[in-house]
Amino acid sequence: MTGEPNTSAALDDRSRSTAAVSAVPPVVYHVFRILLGLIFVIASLDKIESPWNFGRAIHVYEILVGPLAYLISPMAAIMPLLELVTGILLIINRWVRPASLLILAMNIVFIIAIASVIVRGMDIDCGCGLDKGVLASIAGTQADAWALVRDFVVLAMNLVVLFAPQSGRGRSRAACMPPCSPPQGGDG
Amino acid sequence: MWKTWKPEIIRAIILLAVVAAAALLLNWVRTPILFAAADRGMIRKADAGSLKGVWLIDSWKHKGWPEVDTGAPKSDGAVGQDGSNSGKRTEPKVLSINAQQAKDLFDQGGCVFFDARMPQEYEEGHIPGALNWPYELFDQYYDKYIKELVQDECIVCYCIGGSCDESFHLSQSLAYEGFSEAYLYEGGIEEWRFYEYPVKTGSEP
Repeated sequence: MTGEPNTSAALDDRSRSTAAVSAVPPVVYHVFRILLGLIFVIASLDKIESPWNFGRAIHVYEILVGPLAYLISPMAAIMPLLELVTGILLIINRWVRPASLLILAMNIVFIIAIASVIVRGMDIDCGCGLDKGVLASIAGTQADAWALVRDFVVLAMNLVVLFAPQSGRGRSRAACMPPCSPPQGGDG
Repeated sequence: MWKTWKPEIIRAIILLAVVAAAALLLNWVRTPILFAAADRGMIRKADAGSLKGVWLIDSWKHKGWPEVDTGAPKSDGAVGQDGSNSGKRTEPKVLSINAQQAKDLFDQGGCVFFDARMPQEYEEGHIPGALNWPYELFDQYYDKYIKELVQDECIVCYCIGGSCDESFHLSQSLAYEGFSEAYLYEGGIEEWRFYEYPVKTGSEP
């Protein structure tokens, strides 16, 4: 990317798009990154242990109905592992932006699903993966307005992680812009 | 803008593809491993059933989920077998029944009703004769009930109703244990009360 003639224009674009969050102190970025990673890792564990139960949780949302019901199994299989891997990547500060993009996509799906449950007046478990112990008592387990608030908080944290100028091993060449120096080594 | 984000998006797609392939592979291999362990007595069949994987072409709607209001209960093949005596394992199926069907089974007798809620909820009101088997304490109650039950016995599981999961999991677990006639009364005690069917309070069945 650095050899392309319009790199500076692209970087200007990036500068403008990230202006709102570029002022975020690095410590906030790192805290959000690690916190977000931990949330997704913890939330994935129960689902990975029992994808069958997670499939039922998706089923009771009654969004994937009719022929779309065939998407439930692939979702129940793929989404938990995706949460685990993206969470780990955030924690270890590698491939942060790709992981963050995937988390953004999942988060939007969660928000739409929970909002639809609220609109339809349903009373179901959210299937968020935080169904046990202290976390459940703090976070709750129902697909309700509180779950929606939680998802928006996660969304906000994720946007900070996604758009903040990155430093260290998590950056990629594309993400590098002044004052970030060009990356050294193979992670790219 | 696109040029700056393009590499990140490509990486995200690659990440998604790799994880999806790994997840589908993992879910494909875990089921036979779990059931092989169950056959060797290393884990319970119920655990193997609840931990089993899912695969791309599975449909929970048609394969793993209880059917809803599919007609009167049948005793001949309405519920799938564990299949341990055959070469090919089939999914156990639990038939979902409505309030009238549950009442019919209650009136006819011959079925064991299980209340899958916690003891305190059970004491506040349960279907007369129903035994309390809280799904959250499945292991604790397992030895107590499993020896008393005959596997061709008709069982009906319920919990509070609506979207509660305990009766679903209990009925599925018992179906995996080999109970050939397992029913799920999804309406639960709330619906039972709504129709003013008999309810008994206290810890006695």
